[in-house]
Amino acid sequence: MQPSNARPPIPRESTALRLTFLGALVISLFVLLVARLWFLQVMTGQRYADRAQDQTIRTVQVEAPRGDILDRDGVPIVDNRFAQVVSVRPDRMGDEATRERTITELAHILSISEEELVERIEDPRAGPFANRPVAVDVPAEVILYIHQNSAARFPGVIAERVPVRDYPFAGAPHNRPELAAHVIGYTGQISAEELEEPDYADYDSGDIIGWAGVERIYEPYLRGTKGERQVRVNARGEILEEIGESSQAVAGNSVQLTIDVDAQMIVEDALAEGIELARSTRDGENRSEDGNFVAPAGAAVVLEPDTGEIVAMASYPTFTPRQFVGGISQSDWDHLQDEENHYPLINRAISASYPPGSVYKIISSAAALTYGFADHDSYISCPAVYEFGPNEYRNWSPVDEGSLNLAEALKRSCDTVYYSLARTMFTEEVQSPEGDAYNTRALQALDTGEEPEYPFEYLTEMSRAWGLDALTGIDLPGERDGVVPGREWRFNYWINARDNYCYQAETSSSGSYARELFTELCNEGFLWRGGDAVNMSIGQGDLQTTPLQVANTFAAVANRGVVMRPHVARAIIGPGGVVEQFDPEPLFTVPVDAEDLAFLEEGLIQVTSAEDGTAISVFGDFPYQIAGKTGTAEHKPRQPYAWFAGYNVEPVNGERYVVVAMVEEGGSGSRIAGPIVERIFGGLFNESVELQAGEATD
Amino acid sequence: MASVSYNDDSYRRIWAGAFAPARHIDWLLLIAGVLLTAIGLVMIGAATGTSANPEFFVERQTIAWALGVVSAVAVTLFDYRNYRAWSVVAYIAALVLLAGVLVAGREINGAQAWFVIGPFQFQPSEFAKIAIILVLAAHFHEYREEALGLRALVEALAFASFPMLLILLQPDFGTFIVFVAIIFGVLLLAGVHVRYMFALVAMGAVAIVAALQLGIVKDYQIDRLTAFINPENIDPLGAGYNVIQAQVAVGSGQFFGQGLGQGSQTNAGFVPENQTDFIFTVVGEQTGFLGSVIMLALFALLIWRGLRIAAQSRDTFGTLIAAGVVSVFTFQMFINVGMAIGIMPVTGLPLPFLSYGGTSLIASWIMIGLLQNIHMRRFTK
Repeated sequence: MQPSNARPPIPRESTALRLTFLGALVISLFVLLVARLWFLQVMTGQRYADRAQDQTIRTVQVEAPRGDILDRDGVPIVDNRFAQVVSVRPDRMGDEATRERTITELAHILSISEEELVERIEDPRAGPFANRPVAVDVPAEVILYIHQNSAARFPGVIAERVPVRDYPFAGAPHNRPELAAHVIGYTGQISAEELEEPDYADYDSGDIIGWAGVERIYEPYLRGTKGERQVRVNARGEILEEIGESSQAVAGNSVQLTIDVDAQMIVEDALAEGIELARSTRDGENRSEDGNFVAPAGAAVVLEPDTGEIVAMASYPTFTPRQFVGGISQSDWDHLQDEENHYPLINRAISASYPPGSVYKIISSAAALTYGFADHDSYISCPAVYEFGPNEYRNWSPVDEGSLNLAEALKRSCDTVYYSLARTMFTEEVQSPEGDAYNTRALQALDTGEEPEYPFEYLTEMSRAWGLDALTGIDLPGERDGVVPGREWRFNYWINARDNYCYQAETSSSGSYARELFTELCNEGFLWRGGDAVNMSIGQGDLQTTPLQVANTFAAVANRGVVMRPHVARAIIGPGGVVEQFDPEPLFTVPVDAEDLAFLEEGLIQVTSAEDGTAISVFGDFPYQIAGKTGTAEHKPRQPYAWFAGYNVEPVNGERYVVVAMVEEGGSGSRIAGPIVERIFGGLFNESVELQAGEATD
Repeated sequence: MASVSYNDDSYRRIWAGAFAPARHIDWLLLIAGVLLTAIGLVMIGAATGTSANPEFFVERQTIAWALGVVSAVAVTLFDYRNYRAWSVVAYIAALVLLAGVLVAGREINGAQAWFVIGPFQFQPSEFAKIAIILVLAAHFHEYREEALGLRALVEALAFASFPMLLILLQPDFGTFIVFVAIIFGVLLLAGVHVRYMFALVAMGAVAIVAALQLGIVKDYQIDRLTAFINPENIDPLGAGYNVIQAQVAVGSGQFFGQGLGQGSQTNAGFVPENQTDFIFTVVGEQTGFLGSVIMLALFALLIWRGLRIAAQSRDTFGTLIAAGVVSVFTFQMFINVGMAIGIMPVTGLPLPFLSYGGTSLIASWIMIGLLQNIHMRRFTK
């Protein structure tokens, strides 16, 4: 039943015309499309193809491993391993909600707390566009999980395999994660401030740099050259495939140290054991809670006097450089910065200075001999008490020891001999043209603002000549010079401290000792008195030296004058061998006759070998001749600082070593520091030495 | 054994009577439709090959094609002239669905144009296109024997205005102008006086200016529509981004294309929606100028057959249906390809037969079925 339909109602011509019009319209549209396609794809297609290439192919930097740090025989102390590191780019984490979700999930799969994760992401030290490493050595399945979900669930999270610092001695069989920590230092991510510095002009945000020790000083050598590889990325910047490497990452050069790992281990053990020993030793005065020495810290150095090479250098307490790999956690950092832990990051061998005590008597003696206050045959009395004006200065020994020459004075460490020498020198200074009426001139100088002229000061001059007021120039960061007091130093110190002295004087209760003291300091604090010279002559008072400076002092005697610049690096080694060699260079020569130094050496030998030497109880049965000196520096109200420094007079196996040990609040030098040095020498010469307390002397 | 027996001749006659129209099928039209759909499947596969679930899109599109072919066959079983009476039913059904989607539909990409039932999505405006073609064709068929006056025109526009208003409320501007194209095609072949046509164009222009002046069209919408003119300068990371990336994709195909599945632009996510609205960027990038022209040639074949069917139709109803279908195919093809190559604004219109999307593919095949129906029965008394 079809609906009927007679014939087309519209005139055929009209329909045909309109169809033709519609057809023409359609054809023109097709022509337009084909023409445009011809233009886009054939005429300018290459340009678009290039552009597509540009936006899909990206150059990615390949991290280069840092150079190794080797011991003097080429044993690696620091090298690299590849680790799976998860890091976060805070600027690519998306909006607040996304960021929070990502952090929650990331903390969960990495098994760390959200707080710790946030702390690491918000690390204020990092540059703004730096990857913040949040986890190192992430298990493979977690890495895979992050890769598979990266764009959708972990925006801004990067999981990559990168070279990180490794410490071969940290694990078995050595288990010494702290080996040579203060020498090698540690690494960290470059900070926003460092990025601004010219030294780091060609560094990028997120780069790892040396922060301390050799890692820092030799950064330009250790740093590798990053490589570049091309990858294809999608519109979200995710890597789709590897295309190739345009330049390979080149590892940094290695630094060969002068450190001998075996010696280093011996020194670290000896220092730690010596400190343990001090802590179980009664101080006899009950100046600590448990009546023992506190001995919170110490340092020890082994130096080759012929070359200035540091064979071992230890500082206690120490730290684990491995903690810094992948960014140190806040809690670890806080621990290292806490005063209660005695700042383990400080290298006390070079970055802390202490009163040297009697080890300084070498320089006092040298001053006396050089400036004509004594000769080899001068015998100076050594009473138990030396009276100077209203004051009494005591020798450490309670008996009168008769008259001693300077070598014997060193052997017995007689304080009163040096007191009398210091007094003579002081008197001479005061009577010199510049010394005359110095005090009056200094008072005037306060008004004129001009520094007064200073007289020639014997102890001060000689101390400067032995480098105590200067840096040794060792190739480690953070070195401190010592303090060499004298009139000039005192005057300038007073200028700076005067306001404080006067304020303290005013605020102290009247009639108190403090008020009396500060009033005097306020008014006459610039005065250099005879008592100051007397204190200085036995290495106390304001005098301060670093353990390394003390090592140089003994090197000067051992070398009969010349001191070589101490250094920890021997050479830079590239893939093809030695790139740069650091040859020994003289640092200074002390202005003391070789015969005088030989004479003093005799005294130092007697310290360890004469029946009445102060360290005979320690070195009496040691098979090699050691020229050494004990030191027990009073630093009230603290317990005394224990020192011992010495060298083997005759080369053993062709080597001479200067060894210095210092224990803060460790008590007597001969009881604590001497045994540490003996133990170190024993180790260096393959002698078995047990660390035993010596007899307490000076 | 009582039985009715037929001889061979009677069989043939019964067969010939029932299936006579099938002998007049337009094979070229069918081949064009099949090839375009097949190319679409390949391109969808090439566009989604790197996604999480590569088979998902191709499988669903294949199922939609099967449904489309079944629907097309169903449409050809009944003489199209029956649809004159049913056109009003289709029209009302379309209005109900369009109104319903505004209430119960889901908003996807800023337009509330989809019914979502389980894993299936259904876009009623695709079927509304067919309904409006049928109702307009039927309407003008009624006036076939008298001169077309203003009354017929106004009635036609009134029919069209209701679904168009509902589509504008979604809002789906792309489909709205497809309706404009349908009206244009049907009015042209219905024989509406040329001066009325011009008047309509003038009124349309006035309406557009008024919409801009009164702020009915938002600034960002204007940006999006005009970004194609100078995408690099106006907003290269915003409105211009898709335009630039689409052109880079098509242009980088050069003459022979980068090879199937090899498009760095389309496979790396630089071109969004490249299995649906921007499917042509995949054709352009991966098969180059050569592949693009082959695809356009198939569209040309399809449209030529459509115009031929319009010309050969035994009645006005058939002519006008064919005119409407041709308008839909031509217009959507032109806008879609044009936006991918930077000569038309970016509007969310699918490329018929190629774009991923079940409703669109089924609707396209129903329209093929309508064309075949008219063609098959052009000699029927």
